[in-house]
Order: sequence, then structure tokens, then C-alpha cells
Amino acid sequence: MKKKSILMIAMMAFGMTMSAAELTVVSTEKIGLSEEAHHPTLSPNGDVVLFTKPDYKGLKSLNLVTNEVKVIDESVGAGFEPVFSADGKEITFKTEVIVDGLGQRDVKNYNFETENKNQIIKPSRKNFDTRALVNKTYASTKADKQSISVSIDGRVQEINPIIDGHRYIWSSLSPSKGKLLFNEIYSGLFVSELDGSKAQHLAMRADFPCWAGDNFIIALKTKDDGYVVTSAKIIAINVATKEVIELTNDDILVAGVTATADKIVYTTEEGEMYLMNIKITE
Amino acid sequence: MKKIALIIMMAFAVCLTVEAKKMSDLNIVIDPGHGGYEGDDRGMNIWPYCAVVKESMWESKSNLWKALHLESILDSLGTKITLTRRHNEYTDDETDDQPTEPSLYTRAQLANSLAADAFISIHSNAGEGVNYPLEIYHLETSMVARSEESVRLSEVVKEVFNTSKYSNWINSKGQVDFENAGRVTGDRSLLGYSLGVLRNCNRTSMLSEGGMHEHRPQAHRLMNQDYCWLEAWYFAKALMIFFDTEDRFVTGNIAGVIYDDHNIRNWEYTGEFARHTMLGRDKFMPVNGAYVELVDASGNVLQTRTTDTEYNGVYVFRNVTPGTYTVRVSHNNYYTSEKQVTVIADEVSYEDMPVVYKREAPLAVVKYSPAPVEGEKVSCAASIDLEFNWDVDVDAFEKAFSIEPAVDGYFTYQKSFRIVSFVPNIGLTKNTNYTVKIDKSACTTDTIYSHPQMEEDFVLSFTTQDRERIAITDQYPQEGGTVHIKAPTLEFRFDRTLNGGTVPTSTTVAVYDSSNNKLSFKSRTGIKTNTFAGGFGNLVLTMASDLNAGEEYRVVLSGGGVIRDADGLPLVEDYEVKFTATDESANATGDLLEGFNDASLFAYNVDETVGSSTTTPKYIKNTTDKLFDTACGKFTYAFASNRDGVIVWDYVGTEEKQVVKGDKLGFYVYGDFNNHELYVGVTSGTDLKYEKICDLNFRGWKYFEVQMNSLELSETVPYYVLSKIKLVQVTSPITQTGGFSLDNMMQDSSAGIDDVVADVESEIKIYPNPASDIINVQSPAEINTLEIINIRGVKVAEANNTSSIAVDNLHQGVYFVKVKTAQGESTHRIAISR
Repeated sequence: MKKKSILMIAMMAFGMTMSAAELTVVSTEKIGLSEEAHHPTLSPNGDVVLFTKPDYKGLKSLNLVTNEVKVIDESVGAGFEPVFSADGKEITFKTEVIVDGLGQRDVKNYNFETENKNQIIKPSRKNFDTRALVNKTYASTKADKQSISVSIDGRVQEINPIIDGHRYIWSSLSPSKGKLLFNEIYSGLFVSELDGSKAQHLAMRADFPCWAGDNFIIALKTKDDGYVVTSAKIIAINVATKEVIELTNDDILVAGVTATADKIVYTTEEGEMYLMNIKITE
Repeated sequence: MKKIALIIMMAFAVCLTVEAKKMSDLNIVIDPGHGGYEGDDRGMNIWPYCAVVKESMWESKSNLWKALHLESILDSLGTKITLTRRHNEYTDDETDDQPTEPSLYTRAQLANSLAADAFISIHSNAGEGVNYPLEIYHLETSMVARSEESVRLSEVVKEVFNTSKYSNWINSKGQVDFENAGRVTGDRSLLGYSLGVLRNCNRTSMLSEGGMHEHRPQAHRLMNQDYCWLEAWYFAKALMIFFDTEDRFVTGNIAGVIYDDHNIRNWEYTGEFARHTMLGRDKFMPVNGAYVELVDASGNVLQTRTTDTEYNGVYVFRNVTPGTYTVRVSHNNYYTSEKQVTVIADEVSYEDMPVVYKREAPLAVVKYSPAPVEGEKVSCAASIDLEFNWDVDVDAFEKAFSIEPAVDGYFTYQKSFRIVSFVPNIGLTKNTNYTVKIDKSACTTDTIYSHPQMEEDFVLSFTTQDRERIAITDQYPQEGGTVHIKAPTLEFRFDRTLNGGTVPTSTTVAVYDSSNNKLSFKSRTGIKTNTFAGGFGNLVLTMASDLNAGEEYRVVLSGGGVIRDADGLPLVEDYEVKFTATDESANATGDLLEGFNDASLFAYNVDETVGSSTTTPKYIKNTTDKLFDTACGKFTYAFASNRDGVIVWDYVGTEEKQVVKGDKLGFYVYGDFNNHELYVGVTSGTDLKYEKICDLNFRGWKYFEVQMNSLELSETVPYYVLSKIKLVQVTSPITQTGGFSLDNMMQDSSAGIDDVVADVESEIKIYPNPASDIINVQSPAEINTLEIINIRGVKVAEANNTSSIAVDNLHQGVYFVKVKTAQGESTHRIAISR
């Protein structure tokens, strides 16, 4: 059994009252990994975090309870947007090979309990939507990123909440499946009804947005000079009030973030990983 | 057998995957770098806008233009193309109403989520002085590229861009340098950090700096849509090559610059707006509003362009069927010009079009200098300046120019050869009659115009003034002089203040040590010039470090005209001064009489002062310039005029400083190089005596000794006391204001003993001197009485009929021994030390 080595670097405790909901940071810890970790993805229950390399090559998991690290795949692209099953027992991800200068992608499935890994779709030029392959209820941007697919128990609706000609990334459903979150690259971050109606603009710059419960969006607010990112702070956005609170400061350049209702995991440009325990009260 | 079958299957599989690709197979994401019109969007103050306004050059704008053109080209080829932004109306501040430009992470995420086959971030470079493309891929570590495909894409783009002749690839020497055109590099090796838009991108990706927009002609080109289209076309071609598609452009393009064949850009604009424009073809004035026609062999006009008003002269005929064509340029102010051009598929045929300006009037001098009025004489620093109505042909003009008597010099040209100056290398000779002639063979470069160029010779005569060079009127140090070692200040004075444009620098003024090492001057303030009343000037050099005691140094002012005065007259020859560094603080002898560590030692004596200005002379405690202990005493003054001034300060210290005849007083003086005379005054009752300490003809510390032999002591006047410091003005110094300091005034009484004894015709000897316990007196006559008298005249010890007397109970100091014998009495000074 690997030695658990979680380094406690700070104990911050501050509360944010946002309308009826309140998000409190309970603690922040540096996770003592022996390797760099980038682009984290938390499991639905928050026990497992997936991470990869800066270029998304390879995919590993860290069990935040046992501190056990597993190598899931070492292929190119394996770390880009892996998708957990709703029960968190499986993940689906793509890997990529370059054939004659063009990328071809397969789709793989990995079971944490059996540790079985299967290629479920063979390599092709298609850009598969892995979410559609895992769950019956999901939101996903289409391959051309010009519309969003929202599936509720298998009933798929293709929506374009803003106007034609836009590009959507980072779409997801709220944990209770009641709201749609998406980023339109020219207009910023929105939350809407599942059919795209009542789209509310939350922020212009909010990278890697994800849900922390149904009431908060966690994202990265970055500044740059056109060449380099000069500031990247984690923000919490109250969905109801649109109030934005910064959870980190400019002492650290955050490069990736993921969240659940009780924790935020983020990584830095240098590959350090941090666990921020949060408490949300209604 | 199984192995052979496997190999066959693998070969078959490879064959399946290497079938010809089409551009329609590709999925490309293009990122127009930056976005908006704010500080990080690289706006430029460019002619004719003369301000950073939206209409001027913005990298964010030209990046977008290129991207939109590329989108159009690739879309026509069936390529799936996505831009990370489609307009330029952004703000950097999220609190504003305008949208914020997409973040770098968002741009990369779009490419990743689209699984783009290639991601290209389009920029131009803010580099100066040179112009070449720079293609950048991401380095995962300082040495390792993330993707070999990204490196290869960068190399292909570089090779394609290198065929562009618009940017010329001009190096800082103005040379067109195709050998070193274009660079490929990793972001971390170039910048030391990763580019944000590449760091999170997992596609085959690069950031292209298509040219350097601080090279102003390139900035002007980036304001032209045709130019941006052509860069987009190069990107499309590079993608075809990189992905080895079966698609290739079946048409070609014709591109070039319409420019004046002789007039250069400073015809209309100079300074910042013309930065880096004096290089290669780009130095010539591009022609705005030129009408350019593409004519086929049958005389049909296929395409037309009118060059824009952004001073780039760019024209591009797009997508031209291969063949031979005529490009015809016309403009109201220029003669019509034509050239044959051959178009090749998938290539750009460059045809720059120099055109000839119509100069349809005779060449004439419209303004000239010198133009003295009757009897007026001309400065020897004058240049011969001629302004013409047209730009002159340089070769013809220089052959037509003559000056008598002959002068070595060179020509400069302004306003695109309309203003010509003949500049003497050193200067003109004083009191000389000169005649300048421009022979009528001078002409313009317009060979089409048939009228004679100059209708008659131009002749100019003048006489020069009586002064032809800078004179050094004073200096510190003098040749062979000494300078205190402490980071010294040197000074040269001139008969005229130096010219601000030729103020000496570390390349024209230097101080060398004995090993010929060039020493550094104090940062920022080490080389200063000043202007004084009457037009005089000086040069003050302050060294950055201390010198070595005993070492010889030399200071050199460069001649040859690199240093000039306000009239433009030169320092003709190198001026060198040798000096030796000394440690003045090691020179003192005797005992400390006054340390100058207190603020209230001297007070300005208004009654004895003559000619002071309204600025009251002061004495202050100064801790900055001190040589010893905690402080020195600084005396500041300001005379009302340049002559006959005397300023006196009274000693008001609480402790009386006694001085007697024969004392040697030592003074450490910090001079101001104003050449005034400095005196010390001592008083006994109403008797005041001054002794000159020094002339203040130096800077920094120097040690001086004054022998106080003029004092007249007696029983009633046993000593004098320090009472005055006096400054006597020397006529016509270049400034009436200054300040000097004193530190550690010394008193050497033993130095005077010999003198006293030598003055007295006596064979009496007293020893030891200095004494501590007992004094012995050797006398040829019998001694009756020995008396010890202190410096105030009080008898403090006496002994009768003895040749020795105890002094062990006396304080240290100067005393007098009065020896009484049957033959008389004599007084001798001794010192008692502890």
C-alpha cells in the first residue's frame, strides 16, 4: 500500500454568502504526488481524480481516500476530457494516433473494479462524443462545436442557445440534471434551461467550468497579454445571483480545475495538485 | 509463413492509410492572435495617424484579417476551418460592456475539442531593426519538443514564407538576407517560458510571427488587405504541403510594391514614423493611389487595383491563370510604367514597380545658407545648406558642387534629396573668403523631362569669423598634477559651452589607468556639462571608483570634431592630461587643532565682507564630503560680481586655538576649482594676521601647510588664536558661486622649534624636544633660572641654579623655556607630549 502523503499547506476557512446558498472553503492541501499532474477530472462522488500530462498524453487516477495511483493508459490524447459513468466505476476516453499526418481516434472504456480496459470503438477520423457513449443523461457539444446535444434519459435534443455560427465548448448538466452550463467562445459562460432557453450570461472569461452542487459554478478566470497567461484564479459563481468570488489569488497560476459539491481539485502550470475542501449550505 | 503473412497484411494496411488526401479532409483551427484595441493588442503610432488610434496599425487587426482571408481560402477548398475569434471589438476588462477576447486556454480548448488536424496562431512580431518570419512550436521542456509534427509544420510554414519577397528579410545592416531568412524555434528556448495558447493545445500546433511590425514598412503592409490575403494564401499553401494533399493551387498570384524610383520616405515623414525605413527597397516612398492594371496578351484588363493610402504601395492580383501578362501602373504625378510578368501555378510572381515622378520644371535653388547680410561674417562651424525645388540626382549634384578654398567634408541629404548640406569634417578656416558654386550640370533623376535641368550656375560667397575651434581655458588636474584618490572629479573649462548634440560620452571622453584600462564614470551623472554666464562652459567627469595612490592616469578628450561647442566649433585634436593619484589624507604632521565636526565653528562676518551677493555665505557641518571623523566644515559663498569680493568667516568655536610663531598649520581643503584665494587669520588682541592657505584651483581634497612665521610674539603677546577664514575673489572666474570645505586643521609646533632656535644667536640647547618628564638645558654660561611659561604667558614651573627642570606634571602642549644666565636670557619653545 502506497504511503499516503498529503501535505497540508494551508488551512483557509472563509465563508461566502451568496443569496440563499453559501460556499465555504474548509481547507486547502497540496497533494504530494511524485509526478506532475495536469488537467484533473473528479469522479462524481469526489473520491477519485484523473490526471494526465500537459499535452494530455496518458491517463492516471489518484484515489483521494487511499492515495493509490493507477496507470490507466499511456496513449496520446488519453487524458483529454475522460468521462466518468454516473456511478463513478467506469471511465470512457479517447486515444489518438497520427496516420499519414491526420489524427485518428479510438474510444476506450476502463473499469476501476476489474481494471479491465477495452477498445469499444476502433480508430477513425471521427471525433466521438464520449459522453454520449457513457450515460443516457448528459450534455455535450457536437463534433463541429456549433450546437449542443442535451440527452435526458436517452431523449436527445440538439440545441443552439445563442445564435448560429457560434462555437460551444465545456457544456455540462448540473448534478440534479436541471440546468445546462456551456461556454460559447465568443460570448462567454452561460447557464440555461435544458432546452437552451433563459440563457443567463455568467462571465466572459471562465475556463474549465464545472458544477459544485447545483448552485455554484467553479471555473478559472485568466488574464493574458496575448502570449502568456499572466493570472489564473479559481472563481466560484453563484448561479442564482451571478456573484463571483475568487478562491485563489495571484500567488499561484492555476492551469486546471475540477469540482464536486464538497471539493475542488486544481493543478498548477508546474504540475502541482491541490485539494480544496469546500462546504456548500443551502 | 505466419510472419510473411503478417508483413503482407501490414503493408496492405499502410497502403490503405496513405491514400491521397484532399484539403476537404482537413479540420483546421486558426487563432488570430490578441484581440481588441488595448495595450496588449500591439497598436502602433504610425504615419499619417500620428497617434495610436483604431485606424492605425494593430497587430490584433491584421491577425484577424489574415485569419478571415485564410478562412475564405480554405472554405473554398472544402476544409473545415474554425476561427477562435471573428471580430476585433474586445476589451481586456470584464467590467466593460464589450465582450472580452477569448482566453488563451479557451482558444486551445476549441482546437482540442474539435480534434483539429492543425492549430495555427497567427501573429506578427514586435521585433525591431530586422524583418523576418519566426515560426514557433511548443517545447515541453527546455529541450524537448512536444510534437515532432508541430516542429515539421513550423518548418514548412517557414519555407513557404521565405518565398515571400514583400518582407525582404532585411537585417539590421539593411542587407537583404535570404540565407538567414526565417527562423524556427521552440517557445521555451526563445522565450524561456511556454506560450499560453500552445501550452494546453494537444494538436499539431504552432504560433507564426509572419514578420516584424516594428519594421515600419512591414507595419504599413499589415494595414493592407491584399497583403494579409497573400499571407493567408501562404498559410493555405503550407497546409497543402504539410499534409501532402493532392490539392494544389492551379492559379498563381502577382504581387509587388509600387514605389517612387528615387524619392525616399523622409520626403513626407521622419523620426519615429520612419524608423527602420532606410533599408533596401523599403527606403523608397511607396505610391498611394496608384492605379494598377493586369492586362492579358489580347489587351484585356483582367483585374485592377488602386494602392491604398496607408503608405505601403502593395498590390496583389489574386488567382491568376498561368501565363504572361502586362502589369501597368498609372498615376497623375508619375509617368505610366509597364512590365511583363509570367504567372506560374501555385506560385507568387513578384514584380515591384518603381515609377518615375514627373518633375516638369527646371531644377533651382530655392533657399540657401549661409546667406550673410552685408559685412556679416559666418561661423567657422557653418555647413553649406541648399534647398532645391526638386530632389537632386546625388551623383550629378556632387560633381557639380565646388567650394574654394577647398574644404574636406561630406554631403547629407534631407527631405528626400531636396535639402543638401555640405558639412566640413572639422570646420571652416577663420577669416577666410569662400566661394561655393553649383554648376548647372546638377540635375534630377527625371530623364524623361526634356527641359534643361538648371538654367544657370548658382554661386554663393561669404567670409568666416575669427574663431574656429574650442579652446580649453582651464582644467583640473593640470598636466602632471595630483588628484586625491577618492572617486575624484575632474573638470575642463571651455571658452564656449558645449553643444547639447555633441555632449561628450564615454566613447569620446575616457580616463585610462597605467595599464591602459578604460575606467568607468559614475553612473548617469559621471559626465556632465554646464553652461555659465558669458557663454562659457565646462565638462565635469566623476569617476565611478577610487583610484590607486601613486598610480599615473590620463584623461583624454577626443578631437576630430566629435566634441563641439554651442557654435558647432570642434575640439580639433585629442587633448590628453596625465596626473597621479595621491592619498591626501596621509599627508598630515603634527597635532589636531580643529576637527571641523561641529556645526557652530564659524560665522559669517558681514562687516569685513565685501562684494557678497544677497545670498548669505554660510558655514555648515557637512557629512557627505568629509575626509576624517564624522564631518567636515563647508563654507558656501556667492559673490555679487566677478571681481574684488572678499568674504570673511569668524571662528566662534568655544575652545581657543592658540598659535605661535613658527607653528606649521596644516589644512585639508576641499576645493571648488573657482580659483579664489583662501586665507587663515589669527588674532592677538587687535593684531590680526592672515596667511594664505592656497588657491582654490582644484577639485576634491588637497593638503596644504602654512608656516606662521609672521607672528610677532612678546611677553605681552605670547600667542595668537585662530580667528578667521577669508576668501579673496580672483577676477573673472566663470562662476561667482561656490563652496569649499575644511577638515582636520593640524598644528605642528615642533616644526617651528628649529626655526626659533635658528633665529636666536645662542648656543643654548634644550633637549629632549618634545619632552615628557624632564627638560635639560645645555648652556656655555652658568644658568641662574629656568622658567616654564605656558602658551598664555603664565609661568607654570621654575628652577634655580640647575640645568634641568621637571615637566612631568604639565599638560601636553606647547610651552616656552626662559633661560636666564649671567650673560642674559633667551626664550625657547618646546613641546611636551604624553
